[in-house]
Amino acid sequence: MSDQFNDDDIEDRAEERLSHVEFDTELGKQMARDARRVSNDELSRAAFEEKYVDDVRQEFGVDLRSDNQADAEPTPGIPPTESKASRRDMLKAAGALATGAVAAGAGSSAAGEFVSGSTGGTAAAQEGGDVQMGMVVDTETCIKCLRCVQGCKEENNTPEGHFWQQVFRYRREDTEYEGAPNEVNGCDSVQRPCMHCDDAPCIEVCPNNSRFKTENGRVLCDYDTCLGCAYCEVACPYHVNAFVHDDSPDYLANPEENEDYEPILDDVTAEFDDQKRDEQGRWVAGTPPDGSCSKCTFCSHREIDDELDGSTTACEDVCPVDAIQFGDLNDPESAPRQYLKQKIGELEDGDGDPKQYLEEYAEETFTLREDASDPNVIYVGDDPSNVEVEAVPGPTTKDDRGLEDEHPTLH
Amino acid sequence: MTAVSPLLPSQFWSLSIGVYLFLGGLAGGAYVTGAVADFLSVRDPSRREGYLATARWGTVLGVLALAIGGPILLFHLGEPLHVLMFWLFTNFDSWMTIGIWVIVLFMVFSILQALWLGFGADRGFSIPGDALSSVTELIDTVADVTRPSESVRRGLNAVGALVGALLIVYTALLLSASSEVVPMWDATWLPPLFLASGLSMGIAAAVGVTTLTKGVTDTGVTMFSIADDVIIVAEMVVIYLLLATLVNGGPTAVETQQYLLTEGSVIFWGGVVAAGLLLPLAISASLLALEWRYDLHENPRLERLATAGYTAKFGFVIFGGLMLRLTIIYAALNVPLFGV
Repeated sequence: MSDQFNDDDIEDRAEERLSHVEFDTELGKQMARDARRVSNDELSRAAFEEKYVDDVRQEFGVDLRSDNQADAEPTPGIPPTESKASRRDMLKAAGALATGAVAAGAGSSAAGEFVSGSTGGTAAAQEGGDVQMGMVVDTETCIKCLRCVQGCKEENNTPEGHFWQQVFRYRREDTEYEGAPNEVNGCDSVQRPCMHCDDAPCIEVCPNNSRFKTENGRVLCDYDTCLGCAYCEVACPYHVNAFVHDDSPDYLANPEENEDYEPILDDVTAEFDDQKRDEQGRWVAGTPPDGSCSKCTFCSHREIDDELDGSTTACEDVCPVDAIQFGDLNDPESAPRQYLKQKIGELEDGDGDPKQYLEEYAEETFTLREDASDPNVIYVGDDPSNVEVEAVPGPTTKDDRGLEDEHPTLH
Repeated sequence: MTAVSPLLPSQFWSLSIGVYLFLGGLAGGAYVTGAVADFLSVRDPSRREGYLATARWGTVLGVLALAIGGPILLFHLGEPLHVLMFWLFTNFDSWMTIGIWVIVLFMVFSILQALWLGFGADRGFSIPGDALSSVTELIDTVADVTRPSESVRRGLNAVGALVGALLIVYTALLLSASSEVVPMWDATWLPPLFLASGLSMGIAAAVGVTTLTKGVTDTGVTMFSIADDVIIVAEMVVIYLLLATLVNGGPTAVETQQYLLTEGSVIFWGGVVAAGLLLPLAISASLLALEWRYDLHENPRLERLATAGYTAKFGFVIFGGLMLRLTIIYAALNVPLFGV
């Protein structure tokens, strides 16, 4: 354990981590020192916030005491040309610095929460590690309405026959259902976005590193370099990858042409015509090009685009029963963690690894194919992995929503 | 029927990949066979010409098979031009990356050996002059200028043979990296299965062409054929072990094994086992009996019969190798997302 009275490490880290950003290095160092004091109970959280709230607002344009710093309006006086990238760099660097600073403490997240929001999730500085965007999906609450499927389709403008979000409807052999298979209470469901795995098989097999994990735990594809070799399709246990050879269906651009189709989102394609590039310039979102292998990005374009809300995904937004919770799984304050806490219970180690739910609440939570991967979508409900199941059409079909059928091979 | 896994591996990788895996195995096996023949040409001078012919054909078939397989692989890609950014192929956790660099190395070794064995002072290929003479003369000159000493060349050929063996094995490891998703692509038994099959196909191809061009006298065909028989028997043992592993595995593995023995029986029992393994063994046994009973040198008709017999045997071996890879692709089933 590091010496709580010696802040030399902060000095060193600050010079190393903050040297390349344009913001106040001294402020970062001072905050990190005080964050350590908070963790050592030498300084109250309230006092910490009070001390820095003005400086932080002035320097970064975010409110230290707010739960929604990512959406904070720029403070007057902050140049409008300030790059989001550089702000993020500073926030991340300060977060990393603070992480080191509080490492000796008992996991106070004061400094961590300060950096929250920059990735659409929260807290780079939580005990246990980095940001890992993920989902908690409640299969018990789901009403199988397929709004998530449609919302994803509209927002991501996916090619004909491709659905990055799926809802599989089925009946278990070990369950007596009240309703008929085509009724809400007559079947179960599993939603399947990309799992953005910790040990993603697609990343392992991708020959030229086109698949990669982002700093906040998304698994994305660089369309500029993707070969379209389909190795990711072969290797993925969830079959989320789809080879692009078609444009998006016409009804997305011209809803009036399809009587059965009624858009959920206000403007279904306007946001998504361009290539969306991340801070490194990689083409990771936007309508995927022909010949590439595309998949759910956890709506990473929202994170990239300053005008969009990067803290949510389209499927989460449109779910009428809040069955999908998206956020940083490593942050105990995030929406998915709070959902688990309220619906399932607390972990023995409240701030611990979210995957602990799978052990401590094995009857109430599950993941799919964890033997083949380490997925970051945690389901609430009965695990269907080891029971006989039969696929059913469910109460709502794609046809009901005016959506096209899934391409039978995704290829 | 399980709920969720409508997709089959063959919907992603199908005929073109099956053919590529076949050609990759054939290329590696032919080169290894050629390298062995190269060494034997020193140990048994009486058959020097025959062995050197096999050595040359091994290199040529290695280059040719990949010259066909490479473009097949390339045009399977959705974005073939992205291959030009070759410096990005650095994910060595991926067997595709390793395979790409193995192919590059293999091409270098096989082209160099083809150059040294087939061109220059020895004029191994005996390519006629006339229209192509200016080209062949240039190649001859390059061969003579670059040719190292025989010991160095054979040393390089030994290294090339190792690369050839790796080329064969990688085609299996490419698949078995996904054995948790596709039980058929078993990580334990697929590599030795492809290695055995690749070596068997390689012998069949390289020695087969020698048989066609030089006959069965003083070419070592019988000896190579017996080696091939031993490998075929080993291959049968590995196939049995793969089936035994599948039948003792999870539900999808069991389903795969049942599929192989029922709906997939034509390609598996017919193409792989009967045509590719048992028939070659039967032909080989018949030819050995023929050679044991009669002196082929005394009887040109019998010699021609033996030549035809070995050629047929080798042809069936190669056909079986293709069927094996198509079976491994088309009979593969995915583990479902959930349900049993």
